[in-house]
Amino acid sequence: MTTGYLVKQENSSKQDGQDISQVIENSNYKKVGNISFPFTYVLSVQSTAGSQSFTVDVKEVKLNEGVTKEDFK
Amino acid sequence: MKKLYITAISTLLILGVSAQKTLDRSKQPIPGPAPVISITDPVQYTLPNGIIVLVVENHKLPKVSATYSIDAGPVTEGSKAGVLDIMGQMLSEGTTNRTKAAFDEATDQMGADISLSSSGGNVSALTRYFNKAFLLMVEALRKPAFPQESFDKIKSLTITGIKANDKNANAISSRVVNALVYGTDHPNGEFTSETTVNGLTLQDVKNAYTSYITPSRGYLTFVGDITPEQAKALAVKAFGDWKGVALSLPKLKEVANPSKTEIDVTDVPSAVQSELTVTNLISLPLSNPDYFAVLLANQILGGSADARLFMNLREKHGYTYGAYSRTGYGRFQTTFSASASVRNEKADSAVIEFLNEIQSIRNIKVSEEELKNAKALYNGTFALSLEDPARTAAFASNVLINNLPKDFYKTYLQKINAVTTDDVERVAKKYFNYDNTRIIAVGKAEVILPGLKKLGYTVNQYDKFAKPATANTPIAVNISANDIIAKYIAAIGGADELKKVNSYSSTGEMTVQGTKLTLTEKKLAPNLELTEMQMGGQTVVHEVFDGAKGYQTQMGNKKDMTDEELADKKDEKGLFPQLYYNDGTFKLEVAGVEKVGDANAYKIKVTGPSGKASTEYYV
Repeated sequence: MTTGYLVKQENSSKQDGQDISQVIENSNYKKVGNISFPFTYVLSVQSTAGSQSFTVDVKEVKLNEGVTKEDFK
Repeated sequence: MKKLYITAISTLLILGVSAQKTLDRSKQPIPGPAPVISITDPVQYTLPNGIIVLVVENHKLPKVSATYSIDAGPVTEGSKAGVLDIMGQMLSEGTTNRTKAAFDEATDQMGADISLSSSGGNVSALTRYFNKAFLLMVEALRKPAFPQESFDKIKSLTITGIKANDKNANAISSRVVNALVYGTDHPNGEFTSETTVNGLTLQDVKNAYTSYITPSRGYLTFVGDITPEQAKALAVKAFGDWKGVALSLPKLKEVANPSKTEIDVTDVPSAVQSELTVTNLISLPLSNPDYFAVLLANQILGGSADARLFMNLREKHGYTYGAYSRTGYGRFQTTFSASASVRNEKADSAVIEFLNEIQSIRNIKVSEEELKNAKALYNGTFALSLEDPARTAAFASNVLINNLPKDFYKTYLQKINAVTTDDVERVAKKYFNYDNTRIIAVGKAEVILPGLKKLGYTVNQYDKFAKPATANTPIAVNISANDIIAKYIAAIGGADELKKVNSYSSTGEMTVQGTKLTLTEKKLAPNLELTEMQMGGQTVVHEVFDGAKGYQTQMGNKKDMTDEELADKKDEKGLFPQLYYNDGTFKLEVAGVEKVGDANAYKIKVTGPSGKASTEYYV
């Protein structure tokens, strides 16, 4: 309880009638401008069909550039 | 902030699974007539260095296969757990004569299959290439190069694999079950962990190679289009001058079952199902006459989708997709076990039904009809297995390894068919424990524990590495949820900075089963979101939320977001949702302190305006 960072999130939902539980663990916080973002996170998805874990390495974060309303059509 | 990715990925996971073909189980296959069995004995030689050579001649196809297998028995690896597995993989990483690439090319040119492991090697090829392919396999076994960079690669892949299974209830269950049943100092109970693999060096691999890849206790089997003379000449040429460490079978201490039935629980908070295992240790060498009756008793109890456990737990009660039992056998202690993945809410009811079925087969004689069906199944599968000439070779080496009478397999069906309903009852009592068994439940403890505690057995809790779980001493929380969130906002840059952000875009990478996926995420104030997942330049998932509605396109299929999904999205009011947690529409509750990795984290339950809850951990 030192950094204040968000390190883990748990959600559960139903998809096509199946219970799915999802966990994200954030780490490797780095600054982009004046704001810190996690650059590594591990996603774990569990459902009755099985469970899997993925590690995502964020390569680049951009703030206030290159995004327009057109992107969300 | 990352919810979109997850929806996309979990959908992919489900689609992948639902694409599997379902079997037609509406028709019952008709049993065929009892087959007549004839098994020819393989030709057998012993090389001067002790290797036993077995040859099964079969000229139906112009193909030969050979297996070299070292009977080291169960090996205790201790603090070096995982070294044998990695050593086995290292045997396919090139030889002192040629690089891995050259080795693989030579194999491919002949259309041969060569595989190696820590207990030997296997090769198959067309007759005209067989000699060359065989010598290649032997080269890999006898002259491995053990390059450092391959070791580093395999080590890192092994660790990635362990991490990927970190929260997998199934993987945790198989580890915990063995560790509890045998104890972690037993070769069957110890397990490979990130720590043991991290500690391994290339020298450890070389040491393991010297200790376990040897002509001692070696069996070399040839099957196919080859004469015993040719096979012997080849064996002498390849292995004749080979020397190595003498192996002896390890002596393992006898492990006891619990004196009274107990329930052992491992908490996997994210588990959507509980892995239940009811298991006890047994000793059942193939030479024990009980062997045949145990096979049939197990068949009736839980050997198939027609058996009692399946009919009860799945068909009658709907607790699970499938429930089965199995019995090990052989020279060393092994287990009887019955298991299923069950709905968390039904874990206690499922335990009761497992025990009921075990009690019932122990105390009530099975019907003649059930026994007849179980026998018919063995007669059929046994006869079918003989179609494969390699089977005959496996029988021959089994007879040698297990010190069995020579006619063991020739009289196999006779012995199966001689089993009576009395025998089944007697062996069920002896091998399927009821009063002194172990029930291991790996699942969401919060849901399963209260019910399991009511069953009247001692309940023990273990962590996911089978260590007794220390009771959590609750740490007093003297900070409000709002303060924790405020601290978080300050930590990542402060509200003023966060409010300056109008748009966000990121690219990331992940690897799924060896395939690299690229993830793109874009966000625009207030709460527009886009997620894209690409594989080899092709978009596989595309998900968009424009603030009011959204859709997902996956492999060309477009699906609008459901009301539930939209409500979830709308709960995120901005690029940094935490900025809005104190606007009066969210409910925050500090649910204590929990470990995340090594750190203590505040656990906060967040309920959004839609009523949807999630849990967040702040350190």
